[in-house]
Amino acid sequence: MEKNILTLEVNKDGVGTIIIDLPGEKLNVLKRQALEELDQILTKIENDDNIKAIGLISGKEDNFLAGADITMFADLKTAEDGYHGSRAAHKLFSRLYDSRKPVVCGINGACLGGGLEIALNCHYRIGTDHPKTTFALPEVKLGLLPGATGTNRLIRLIPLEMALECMLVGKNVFPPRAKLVGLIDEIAPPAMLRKAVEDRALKLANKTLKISRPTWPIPQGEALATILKGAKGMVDKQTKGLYPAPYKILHTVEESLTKGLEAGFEAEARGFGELVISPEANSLIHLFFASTESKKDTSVAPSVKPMKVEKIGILGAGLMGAGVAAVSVDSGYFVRMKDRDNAAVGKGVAYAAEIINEKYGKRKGGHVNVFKCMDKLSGGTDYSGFKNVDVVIEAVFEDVPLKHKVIKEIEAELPEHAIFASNTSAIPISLLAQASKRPDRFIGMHFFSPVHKMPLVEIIVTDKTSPETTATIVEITKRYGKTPIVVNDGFGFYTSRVIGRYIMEAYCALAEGYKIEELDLAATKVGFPVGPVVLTDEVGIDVADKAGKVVEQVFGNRMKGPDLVSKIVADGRFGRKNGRGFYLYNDGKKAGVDHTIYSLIPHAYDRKPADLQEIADRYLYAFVNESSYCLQENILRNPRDGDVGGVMGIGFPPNLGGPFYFADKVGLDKVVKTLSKLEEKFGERFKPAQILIDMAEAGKKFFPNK
Amino acid sequence: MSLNRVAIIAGCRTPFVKSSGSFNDMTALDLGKACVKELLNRTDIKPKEVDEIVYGTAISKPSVANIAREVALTVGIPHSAPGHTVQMACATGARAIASAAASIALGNSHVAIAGGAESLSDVPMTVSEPFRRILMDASTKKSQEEKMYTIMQVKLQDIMPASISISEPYTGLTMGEHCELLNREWGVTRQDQDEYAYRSHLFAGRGIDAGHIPAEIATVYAPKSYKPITEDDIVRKNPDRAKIASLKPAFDKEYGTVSPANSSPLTDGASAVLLMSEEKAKALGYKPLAYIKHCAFAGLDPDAGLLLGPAYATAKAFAQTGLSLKDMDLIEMHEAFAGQILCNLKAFACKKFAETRLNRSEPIGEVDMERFNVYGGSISLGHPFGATGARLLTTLANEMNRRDVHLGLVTICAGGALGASIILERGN
Repeated sequence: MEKNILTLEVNKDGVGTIIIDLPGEKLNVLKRQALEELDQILTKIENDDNIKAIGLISGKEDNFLAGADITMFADLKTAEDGYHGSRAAHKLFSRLYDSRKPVVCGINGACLGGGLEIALNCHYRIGTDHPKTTFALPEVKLGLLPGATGTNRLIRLIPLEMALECMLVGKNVFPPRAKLVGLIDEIAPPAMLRKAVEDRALKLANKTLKISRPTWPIPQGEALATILKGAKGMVDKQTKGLYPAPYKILHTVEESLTKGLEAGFEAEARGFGELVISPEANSLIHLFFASTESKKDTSVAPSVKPMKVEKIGILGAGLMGAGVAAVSVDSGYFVRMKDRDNAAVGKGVAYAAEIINEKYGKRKGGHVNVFKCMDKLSGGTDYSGFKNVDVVIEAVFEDVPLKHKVIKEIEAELPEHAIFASNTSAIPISLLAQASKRPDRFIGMHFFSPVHKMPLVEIIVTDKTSPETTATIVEITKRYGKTPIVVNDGFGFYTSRVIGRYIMEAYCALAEGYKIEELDLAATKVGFPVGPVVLTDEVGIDVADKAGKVVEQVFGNRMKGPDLVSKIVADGRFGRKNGRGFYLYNDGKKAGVDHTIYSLIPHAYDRKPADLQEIADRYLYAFVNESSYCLQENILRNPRDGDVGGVMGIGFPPNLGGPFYFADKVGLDKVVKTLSKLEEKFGERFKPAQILIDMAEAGKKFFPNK
Repeated sequence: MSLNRVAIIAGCRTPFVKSSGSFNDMTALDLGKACVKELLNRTDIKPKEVDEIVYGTAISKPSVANIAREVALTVGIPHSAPGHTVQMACATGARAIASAAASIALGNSHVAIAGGAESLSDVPMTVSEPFRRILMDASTKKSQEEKMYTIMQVKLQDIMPASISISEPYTGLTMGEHCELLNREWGVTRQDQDEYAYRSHLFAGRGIDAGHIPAEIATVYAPKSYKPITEDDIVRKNPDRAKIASLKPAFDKEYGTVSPANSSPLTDGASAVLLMSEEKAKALGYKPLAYIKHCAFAGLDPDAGLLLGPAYATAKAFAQTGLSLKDMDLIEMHEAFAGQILCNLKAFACKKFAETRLNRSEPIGEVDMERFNVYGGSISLGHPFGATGARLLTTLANEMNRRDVHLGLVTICAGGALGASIILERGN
């Protein structure tokens, strides 16, 4: 017999409080067992005349309910299954809503998804002022809709526009705003929550408490149509029509508000059923589990403990260095930054301050966080302050002799135990480590730009990197709130190598005579957040050119692109950073394609229209193939890291779930066939990786269980 | 009970800049943090080794009552290390150092940070006394109407905020006025004072060109632009005698001789020193710059030469240690005003003053100007009140090492008719 998740405690006043506490976990999630127990407890309460009112709280220290246990969804094999599941939840949660005994919910900590849906079915909600108390319906981020009454209940409680924003974007709402709009009725200190819940429940039962809550007009007719149209426009723009969930949410809302609650519930359940088996939701759920697993996988034995890190030294105060500095101080580390002159350090400090202010500046009491972060940051032009750092992150210019010089210099200053982590984006770590006297404490830590926004860190280990070093860098990455993938060393590691191949494919297509904007459109249409040409402008055309040449040297003909960029670089076009690239930049803002660039590339102004799907396939299959080479060469330790890194680091379409998940879904035999066809047409660069051929022949999949 | 010997390991300071200038968006607390943070990095000490901090400002802000604690809390000094704030006007920094040194000597602490900061860009503004009474009265009222009614009773002339007065509460006179009195008493002329001001800038220029002063300055990345501020901005390396002579007297328009050029200016800045017990320094592998031999603080009659603190405190220090002026290889005297410096030098050498005021049969002595304020002083470098003590001590300790001499004296006059003298020794 499993331990109970829910318990009922009845106090002397006759208030029965349901306490949700998932045994052995830090967070509460809704499992099937909890739903069954809730049903039983509600029956018990209904039949017990001594219980006059109901309270509902979490037994966790700082978490209410983080949502449904997503693994449950795997059992829903058909839209019909999903529909019935959703209907069952409606029935269960509505027992709270329809209860004749008042239900008061006390919320301390995150109240997400199904957690908020339970709360929405209570009669009175009290939130705490704990910093972790937030309200959100993040289902859309997993390609789903709130299917346990939430889509219907929320729009009847808070202003429609805000409800739509919550459901379509999955935005967090904090207690003050929640109180303002009536999502909660009161704010209480965490220590007083239980008492407040019992007190209000009793008063509601005795009719001595009148609920005063703002009411919002529910738009009808023309007004409703306008709001929904506006929301749809926003969804079109943000999702490019690639994700069905937001549309199902809008449809449910429309049904609910035009035809009534029952029709709304029906639409919600139908929508949920269709979404839960949709490829988009499955891709997003796959990525959710994959990134959760990557976070847990340090790549070394669990017995290896990370070293204690208090202070981090950062070499180079450019956008990368300063970005790392900002996330480091925000994670509680002390930081010493070094660059060659005071002006450069000052710019770095200013950029870090900008990031910190952006995060905390506007929050109530946020100035305290701002100075706590900024006081941890210092900088200089010499190695003072580096004698007691635990980790050094190097973010100087991508130049091997320079990095070697820096490594030799810094190692003379560092304490014995300190780790050196290079934030190079492509140079092999073992090549850099040649200058090191301590290759066991030498590792790659590849951040993505802008550092404070990008969720991935690619950690590169060599055969000499010690397990403790790896564990420590993984730990730091997690404390940054980022997802690590640990990969083996090689030119470009995983991410830069694959993104290089993606950009190269765009160059090839450009040389064939296609239009720049169509090459980008082909990518964004299938779900790449950024097209490859825009990406080159962002990265820097010169940087991409330099990397491309090295790639060609290392990987030979398979990575040989058309020589078209050298001319562009020679023309003084470096991309966004100098305002001249493939696109025009007005005051730093991207405008249309700079047509004058065509004079520098084959076919000049004679551009031909593209078959967008064919171009997109070239990108996707180049991506899949190069990822497979990385797996085959043991750069990637497993396909999971490839999917996590591909999506979170370099923009593989999330709706396709990552290169390996995508390949599985297409079928590996088909992938090989397509690659072979592309090879025939375009040459060696599409030569399928042996691992794909072998796995296809053996009828294997990258993720056999999915 | 045996006392621990107290070592000075290192000191540094922020640039000293004109108030309402480069540090306009920083408070004394911000400056203190910037300085202490840099001291920790420069000395590469593990912040968790620090077990006490003593800090201060001469003009404290009501919102930051204990600046020492606030400086310590966010820059990495362990939260278990106590911090307390001292106030002794312009001797605040010296008092902070003496207090930290005493703590180390007694064995309460082994590693301490001491110093002070001042932002004259961020002087607290207060409301006039009648308006304050009305506001306090209003705060006791319950309803909004009553509150408003009470506040409306304020008279127009009482509304203007008043910045904290710099006149001495006891005498009612400002420092400049006291300096004028002293100048008249000791016969110091405008020309003498201007010549001394000229010397101060000239000597400071030497210290800058030699790299000695810049070495003590920590770069501050000053918000909001975070542009690096690397050097002092008051000092003129090539002073102009005519320009100095051209400035009008500031305190007594008609008969006065004290002008902005021969006074220390309104300045923003911070300074700090790292102190350790001799034993701890050895254990951690630090080579001390010098040791604190003795600290003496003295009070005198405010109506009889309020700025003569250095003479009184130095006499006391010598009496307590048995040392004499000729033992002092170097002297750093705080330059509040050129007149104050010159009067103190005269008092040092005056037998009658020694007999009647210092209770000594012989004068303290003639100061050898070759050993005196060798890289300028507060007139040329600036004087953020709380930050001057640690600046003087740092400069003295560094120069004692460069000259390879044994003993040095820091002496400071302070408002309220006070004086501070600290004797440093180099040691085996």
